[in-house]
Amino acid sequence: MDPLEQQIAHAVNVDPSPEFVARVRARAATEPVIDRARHWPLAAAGLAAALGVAVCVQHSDRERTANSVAAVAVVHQAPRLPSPPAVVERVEPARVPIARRQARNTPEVIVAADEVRGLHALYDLMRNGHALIFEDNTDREPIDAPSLRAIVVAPIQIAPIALASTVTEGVEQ
Amino acid sequence: MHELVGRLASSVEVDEELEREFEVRLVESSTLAFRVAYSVLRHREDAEDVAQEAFARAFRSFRQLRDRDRFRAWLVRLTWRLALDRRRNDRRRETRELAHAEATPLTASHSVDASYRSHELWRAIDALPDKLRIALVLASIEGHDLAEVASLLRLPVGTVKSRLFLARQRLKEQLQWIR
Repeated sequence: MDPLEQQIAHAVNVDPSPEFVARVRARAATEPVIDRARHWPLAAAGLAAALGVAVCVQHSDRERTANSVAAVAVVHQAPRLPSPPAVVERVEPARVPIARRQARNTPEVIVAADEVRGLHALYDLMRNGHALIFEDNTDREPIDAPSLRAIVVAPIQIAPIALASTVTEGVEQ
Repeated sequence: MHELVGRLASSVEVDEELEREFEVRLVESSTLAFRVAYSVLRHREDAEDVAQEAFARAFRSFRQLRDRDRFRAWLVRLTWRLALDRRRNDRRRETRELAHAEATPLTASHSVDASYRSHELWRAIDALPDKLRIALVLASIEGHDLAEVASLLRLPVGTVKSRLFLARQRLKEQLQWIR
């Protein structure tokens, strides 16, 4: 054996005290043996609780999202416009709950949740007589707002694309 | 009721069997765990504490460690890690070692006695990367051949061989001047 290896072996091969094994034995006697098979009901209960919490959190989150997006303010019947000549694609709000939409016959206007809260607060103030609304036209030019009837959606006409002949284009080789 | 009593009796039998197996492992691996801890801590009482803690943890999950090779490999890894943690956290040891280093300054006329050699050897071993160090320590323990070290480290024999070669080469380079 190499002298260096001898030196290392001499340094490493130190024996523990004679009482060491007895002390380990005594310590082990106080330790509980973990048996995973006996603890499966506890683990299953923990897993079920975690799943329940996850489902609740997801559900409340979904409801909160729906409420914030689909805050609905009911307005009076808008003046009926003449039907436009061209087909206009109607965009449906994606997250409005179906049951709520079916229950109402009046038109719905989608407004952001914070704006709805602000409108409600203003409405309450007015109803209790704490706020009055005046038209402020002292400094501004009156806005020449066009009436809804004046807005005309011009019909869109799409001409069919003429099929180009592949023979006439390019140079024949 | 009868079935419940039967199941309890069989569970007590299994526990007793487990304890007997653990006793066998304890007797055959106690020195190994102690030496692994000692090679990091170089303090007998601390090494015994760490090895004892490792055995206690091994006992707690002994049902999963009943295989002899698996148990010994697990014990070595755990003891090594616990010893490193202990060393890292032990501020008193650092102070003591610092005081020792200050008391024995390096001079040209310093006599290269056995304790000084040992001190320098451990310093060189400590400077080795972990992978090389544990391979060197395990291979230096009495009765360990390459196959045993490979089994303890869960590595191929060739990998252990190359790590040992590298470790010894680095030690020779570092300790050349005191040999």
